[in-house]
Amino acid sequence: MPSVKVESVTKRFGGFTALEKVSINIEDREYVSIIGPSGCGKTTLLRIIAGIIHDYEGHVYVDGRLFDSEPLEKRGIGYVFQNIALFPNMNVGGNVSYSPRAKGLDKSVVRTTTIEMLELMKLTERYYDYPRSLSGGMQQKTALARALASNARLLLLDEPLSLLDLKVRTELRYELRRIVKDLGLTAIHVTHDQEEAMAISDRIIVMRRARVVEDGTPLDLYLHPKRIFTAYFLGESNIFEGNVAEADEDTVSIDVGSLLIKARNTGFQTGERVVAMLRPELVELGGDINARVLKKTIEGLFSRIILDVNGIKIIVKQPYSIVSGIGEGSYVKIRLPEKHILVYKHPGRDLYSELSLY
Amino acid sequence: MPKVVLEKVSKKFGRITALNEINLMLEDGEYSCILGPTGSGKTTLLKIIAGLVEPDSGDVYIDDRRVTGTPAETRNAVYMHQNYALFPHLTVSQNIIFGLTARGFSEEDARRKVSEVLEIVRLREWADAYPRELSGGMQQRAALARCLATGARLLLLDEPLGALDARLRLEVRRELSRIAEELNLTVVHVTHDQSEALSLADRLILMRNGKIVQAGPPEEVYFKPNSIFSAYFVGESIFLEGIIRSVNGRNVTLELKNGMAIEALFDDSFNMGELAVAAVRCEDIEVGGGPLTGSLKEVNFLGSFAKLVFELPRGLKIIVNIPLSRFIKEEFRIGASFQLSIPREKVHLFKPPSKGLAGEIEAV
Repeated sequence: MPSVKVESVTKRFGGFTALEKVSINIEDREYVSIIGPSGCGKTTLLRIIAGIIHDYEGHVYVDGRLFDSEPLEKRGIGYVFQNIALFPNMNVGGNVSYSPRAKGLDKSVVRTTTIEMLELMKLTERYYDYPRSLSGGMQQKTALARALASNARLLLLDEPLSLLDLKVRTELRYELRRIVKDLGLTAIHVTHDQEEAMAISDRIIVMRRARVVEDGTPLDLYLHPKRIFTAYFLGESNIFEGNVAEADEDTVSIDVGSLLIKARNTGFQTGERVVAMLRPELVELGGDINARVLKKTIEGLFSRIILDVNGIKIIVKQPYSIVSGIGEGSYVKIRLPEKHILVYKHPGRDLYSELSLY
Repeated sequence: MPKVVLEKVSKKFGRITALNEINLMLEDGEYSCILGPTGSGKTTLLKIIAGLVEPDSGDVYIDDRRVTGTPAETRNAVYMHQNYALFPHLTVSQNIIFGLTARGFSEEDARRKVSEVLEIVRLREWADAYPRELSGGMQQRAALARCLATGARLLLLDEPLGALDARLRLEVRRELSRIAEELNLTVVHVTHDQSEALSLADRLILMRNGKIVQAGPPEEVYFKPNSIFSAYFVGESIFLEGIIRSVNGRNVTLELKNGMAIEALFDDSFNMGELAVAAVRCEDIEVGGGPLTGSLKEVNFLGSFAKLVFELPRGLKIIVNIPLSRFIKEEFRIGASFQLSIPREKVHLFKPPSKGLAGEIEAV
């Protein structure tokens, strides 16, 4: 059963470092997503595990077996490329049934598997069509069906849903997770869509600039990111720079300019320069901070409100039913709940470069 | 000032009808988003306004002037491609100057324009950088600057944020909104991303199969969907099929396929015995208290909210989205039973579609 271990892998393309001492562990039957800004190395990592890139430093193990010189075709990996790569001379059915046929499986088994995967992707009617007559989204679904039909125990998926319309994408990701779980596969899924990563994964690995920033369950990364970059990159956050004005064992008061923010003390001392983070969804209405509503927009099931508190901007996201009475230009009272505010050591240099995507 | 009017605009490509008698009026200074699935005709509509594609029939007016058949460059409009390719061998400012001199601006006027528009998109320090030295978001802003420099007051944007990383998309989205407001531009922005459309638009235009399904302020489209497709494509809804069992002065009762009943506000277009489809937003269903009992099958955490999937008797599935603040306060254990209720004022009733419900909301 496929567990994957990547040990201190470094990969350079000329003078460009794509991966710098990257180590990750993926357990058997785990669904893991890798997210990060473009150019962070996520696709390179996937290609190394797949066996498409060979010349790297470090090691890759699958099921505890050293895979560095294992030929691609012996790895038992289903790979969905970002740029799809279907066989142009085969129709949809031929593409999807390719791997089971190549393995010499029984004809009826080949047929059932193929049909099953095509049905799942709603592609049955396209069985006899060639890739060139399909839309990008349909080609992508064909590639996914092909990978799933291949009987591989380890799936490597590079932006497998990126060409689909948003609405289809959000529906298909649940299907994808369900199949992977039903079949007991291990999946590593690279995406630039954070919501997709949260919806589909057991665990998310965040990368930036050729390195792993941190990893965790979607809930953990969202609520308790260890790095300020994660808070910034995954979802939206209010980020405040300030100094600890007062600290005791339990709480800190952070002076962020014209506002004092209280948070739980996780090891800071008076005078220290810090960054405080609060998710917009966890800003509460009612409280003793006066705020003016600068802008209010509806974003799906919640409203996003930009507030001004003595010149400091605070973003709030609340279900629209709760904030329906609040209009632009009006005043509201808010509370920044202590228990939800995370405090980080200030990165020293400017915060902007710490948060920078590239 | 650019006000845009389309009158019975139709366009076919071979046998495919891209646009079918489109009527539309966009006010001066308005930010419109055209939303719809692939193949719904959004890009064709945009190109017809730009003058890059001519309609088979119907007319286009910009500023009350009939522009059907007139060349694109006389329309006071600028079209920005999905792949807004900058010239790689030219710097940011050279890219902009090139666009302007090609349009007949003098070299001197072009130079003055450059610093003006780079200021607007906040790229002044990057005037001499080459595109490859810029991040994706900066390239996007540079391309936008090139469009703005033409002085056109009507900005036609085709998936302008499509090529950007998700995180960046949010940032550039806010920049776009700011710039449009500052310069009082009329903008038509094509997207298939509903949250982008909802948050940017003064007016949201939902398209499907070459027709406008619904157009109006985002709040109106979101809270008062005029069709099953609208409730499906904008936001997230569940759809319940049933038969009208009673209609009185206040309520309509719908008996669902699994035998359960739900109520909706009185609507005189429905009669007893008729089939109907109820659409309810996934965030409008209440968990905890209520006449329905469901067993929690799945929990999906999505950051701002969590998606709970409940199973009710006879295979009925109800999806409820609850906000993060509540999700972290309560325990939602898989397998546990929960009371659910559907507030009647949140139920939208529709006639059953001719192709069946699945055909109406089936993703393409």
